[in-house]
Amino acid sequence: MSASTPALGHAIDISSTTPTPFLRLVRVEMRKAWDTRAGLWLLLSTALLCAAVMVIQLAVGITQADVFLTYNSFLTSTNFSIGVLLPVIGIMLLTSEWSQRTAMVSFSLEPRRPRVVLAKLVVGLVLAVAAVAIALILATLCNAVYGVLSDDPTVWNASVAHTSGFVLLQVIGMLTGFAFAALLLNTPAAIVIYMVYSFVLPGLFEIGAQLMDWFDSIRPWIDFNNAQNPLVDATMTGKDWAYFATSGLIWLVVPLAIGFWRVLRAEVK
Amino acid sequence: MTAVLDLSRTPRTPFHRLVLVELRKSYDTRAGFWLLAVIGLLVLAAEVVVLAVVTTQDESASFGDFINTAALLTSFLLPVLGIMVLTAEWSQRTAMVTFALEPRRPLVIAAKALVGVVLTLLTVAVSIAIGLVCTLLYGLIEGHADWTFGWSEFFAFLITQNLAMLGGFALAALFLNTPAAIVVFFVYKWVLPGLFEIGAALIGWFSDIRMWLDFQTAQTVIWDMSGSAEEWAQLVVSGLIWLGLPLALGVARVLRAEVK
Repeated sequence: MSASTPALGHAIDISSTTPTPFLRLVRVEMRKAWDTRAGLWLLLSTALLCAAVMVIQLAVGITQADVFLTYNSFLTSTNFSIGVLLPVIGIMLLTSEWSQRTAMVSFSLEPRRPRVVLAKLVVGLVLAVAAVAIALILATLCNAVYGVLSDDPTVWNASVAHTSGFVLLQVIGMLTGFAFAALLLNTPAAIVIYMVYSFVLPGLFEIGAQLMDWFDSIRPWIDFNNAQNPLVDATMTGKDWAYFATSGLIWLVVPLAIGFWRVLRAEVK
Repeated sequence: MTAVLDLSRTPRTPFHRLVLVELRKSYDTRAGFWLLAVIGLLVLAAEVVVLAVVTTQDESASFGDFINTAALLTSFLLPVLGIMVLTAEWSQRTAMVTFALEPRRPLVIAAKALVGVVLTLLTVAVSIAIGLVCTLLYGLIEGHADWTFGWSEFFAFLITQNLAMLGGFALAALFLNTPAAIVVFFVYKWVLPGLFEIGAALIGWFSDIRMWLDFQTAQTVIWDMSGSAEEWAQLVVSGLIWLGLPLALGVARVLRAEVK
C-alpha cells in the first residue's frame, strides 16, 4: 500500500505583493520608540528634565541680581538634560530590539536589514529634531518670562549659526549613542561606554595633552568632544571644521560603519 | 491517599549559601563576566599608559599615584557592578526562581549587597596588585621607586570604592531597571557636581548648604582623614540623602515588588 505524498493544495502567490515601503518602516520604528514603557518614560523624562533645568536656571536668574541670562544661556543649559539623554534614546532605539527580543519579528517581516537600521536612524533624527524644537520653545518661554520678571534687559541672541550649531550638536549626540549601540548591541554596555566617552575621556585627553607635547599637538584631531565646542558658540573656523571632521570620523563614522556591518550579520536570537 | 511533604526537618537555606549563589550569578553570565573582565583590563591598560607616560616624560609617580588612577577608573565601573548585581534579577527574569527558593527577600538583598562588597574588595586588591607591579617597574626603569602610600589612603580607597558601589546598588533597588539606574548614576556622578558648583558660585545661601548636600565632595574628608567634626557631619548628612534614602526606599520596593 503506498500513499502518494499529498500535493500542496494551494500556493501563496506573492508575486504581486509589493515590498514594504520605507515610509512604513519608519512609522513602525517611530511607534516602537514611544509605545513601550521604557521608551515613553525616556522621552518624557528628557522633556521634563529639560524643562526642570531651565526653570531652575530661570529662578536663579531672577532672584540673583548678578546673574545675567540670555536666550542662548537657556539653550546651553540643555547640555545637562537633552545632551545627556538624547544619546540614550539613540542607544535604546537599536538595542531594545535585541534586549526585548523583537529582532526576530522585525527581521522576519523585513529581511532587508539595512532598511530597518536606516528607518531607526531616521526615527532617531526625527526625535533629535523634536527635542531641539522643544528646547527652542522652552528657551523662548523662559527668556520671555525672564524679560518680564528680571531687571536685566532681555537678549534674544538667536542666530541661524547658533541654531544650526545646536541642531548639529544634538544630532551628533544621538548618532554617537546610535553608533555605540550598533557596535555593542547591548543597552547597559552602550550606555556605560557612551558615558565614559563623554565624561571621562575629555579629562584623560586634558591630562595627556598637559603631560606630553606630541599628544597636545594631535589631540584636536582625535578629541571629538572638544571639536564640538566651537559649535556651541558658533565660532567654527576652517581649521575647526577639519578637527571636527577628522575626530568625527574616528568617534562617529568608524563605530557606525562597524556597528552597521555587525547588525547586518548579527545572529537574531 | 494524600502524600504529605514533610518540611519540618528541612533546615532553612543558610545565609552563606545565598551569598555563594549570588557570587556565582555575578560572574557566570556573559554580562557579569565581561563587566568584571573589563574592570580588570581597563585598570591594567590605564596603569600601563600611566607607566609609559611617566617613564618617558621623566615625571615622578608614586605607588599612591598608581592607586589613584585605578581608583578613578573603578569608581565609575564598580557602581555599574552594584547596579547589575540587583537589576539582572529583573531584566533576566530570574527573580521568580530566586524568590521562590528563598522567599525571605531581605536575606537575598543582603546577600547581594555582600557580594557587591566582596567584589569591590577584590577589585581593590587587584588594583593594588597592579599598582605594586607598576611601581616596581617604575623603580627598575627610573632607578628609584616612591612607595608613598599610607594606611589611611588604603582605608580611604576601600571606603570610597564601597560607597561608590553601594550608590549604584541603591539606585538599582530604586529603579529595578539597568539602563535607568545607569543613566541616573552617571548624571549623579558627572553632571550633578557641575550643577552644585555653578549653584554654589551663583547663590549665596546655596553655597552654605551645598556641603551638606554634595555627597561626592563630602567624601574628600575620607581621603584627608583629618577633617573637622563639621566635615564628618556633612559626610553623614549628604550620605543619608544620596545613599541612605535611596537604599531604604529601594529595599522597601524590592521587598514588595511584583515578581514577573
